Amino acid sequence: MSPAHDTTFRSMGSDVRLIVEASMLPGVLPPAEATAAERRYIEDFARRLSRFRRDSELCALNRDPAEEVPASMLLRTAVAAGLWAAERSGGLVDPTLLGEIEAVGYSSSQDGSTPAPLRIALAGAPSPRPARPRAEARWRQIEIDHQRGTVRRPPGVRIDTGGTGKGLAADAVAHRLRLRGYTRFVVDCGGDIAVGGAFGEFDPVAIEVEHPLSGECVHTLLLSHGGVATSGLNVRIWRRADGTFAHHLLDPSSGEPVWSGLIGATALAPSALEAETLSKLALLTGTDGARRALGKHGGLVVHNDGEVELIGLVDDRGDATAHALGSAA
Amino acid sequence: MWAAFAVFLAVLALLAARVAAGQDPALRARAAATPPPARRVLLRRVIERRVIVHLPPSAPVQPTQSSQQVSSVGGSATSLPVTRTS
Repeated sequence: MSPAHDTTFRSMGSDVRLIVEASMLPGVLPPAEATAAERRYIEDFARRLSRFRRDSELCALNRDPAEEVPASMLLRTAVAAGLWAAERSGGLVDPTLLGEIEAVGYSSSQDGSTPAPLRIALAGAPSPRPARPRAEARWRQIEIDHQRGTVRRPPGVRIDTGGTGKGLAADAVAHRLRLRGYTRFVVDCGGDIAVGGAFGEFDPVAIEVEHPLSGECVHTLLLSHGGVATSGLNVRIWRRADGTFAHHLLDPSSGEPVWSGLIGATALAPSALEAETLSKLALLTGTDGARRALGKHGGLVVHNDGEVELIGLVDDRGDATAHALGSAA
Repeated sequence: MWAAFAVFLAVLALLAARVAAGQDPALRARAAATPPPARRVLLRRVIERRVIVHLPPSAPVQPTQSSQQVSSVGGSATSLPVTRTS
């Protein structure tokens, strides 16, 4: 096993952790310098795509009254990732719910704030109901023109890339590290994780899945390459002025927080972006939808009562499960 | 003859009276073994309510804003990556 460098820092409202082992290629940066470079990349990524910074490219796009707006390659990629997630989820992971998420109380960063108690929120939550896509699929009105370097959308349709940003960032850094031959790496953007490198094929990375209520490890995944992501209600949750609770995962059909009977979902997928999309899709659609969403690549869900259900994971040799995904992340 | 019969009747009457009074000589030993009358015992029901709080384990110490060298990603020298809600 080669030496690894392990760095954790704060970005995108979450802990970001980079673990990089030595490269097989000559002349590339050693792991310590590589993680420093990737940290700068992630911090730049977050600064340019934050919806909480008025000087970000995303906010500039959303403010612009023109229908067609020049956009950098990074911004176009982030918007494209949001549209891909919407298509992949049948419109449930919708990047055009910015007005709705602000209306329910999430208009500024909650980094560092104490989340409301999920158990109490659940006690007063409405009956479980799966989310449905918005009849007027605004996201289908967004177009990306890479030739002209622009994003086109009807004025007033604002875009939120936050739902897919961490997965995209993890995949982007994983791609950069893979190209430079690092033998094994883990890119963890707030729990949305990309794993890769040649060594992973015979010595997979163990990743723990945290329970949203107890904080305990409920399962350990062994991942050779690909992505894993978790969505849950336990962190971005707050009490509204009227005493009801709200969180950041909205039912597109109503614009209100979804209470689907699940409080957490973890998904495996060939990429962190797809894993993030599938974990959100699972949580939005409730038990039956989650079984469909996670059936192909595997994952787990946590029900309102805290019960953990493994989906498509073999668990016959302890609590560690090995996974070989179809394509490299 | 009649005198003896009269004495017999008198003794019989005396014994019958003692038996009727619960003083049968044949049952004296058993009567002594009879437990004393039950005492009244005041029972008090105690209801104890226990609130059990399961505290999550302490979050693993992570090197926030710092770096560290470890032997291997999969090795035990460092905490495992965790996927969690963020």
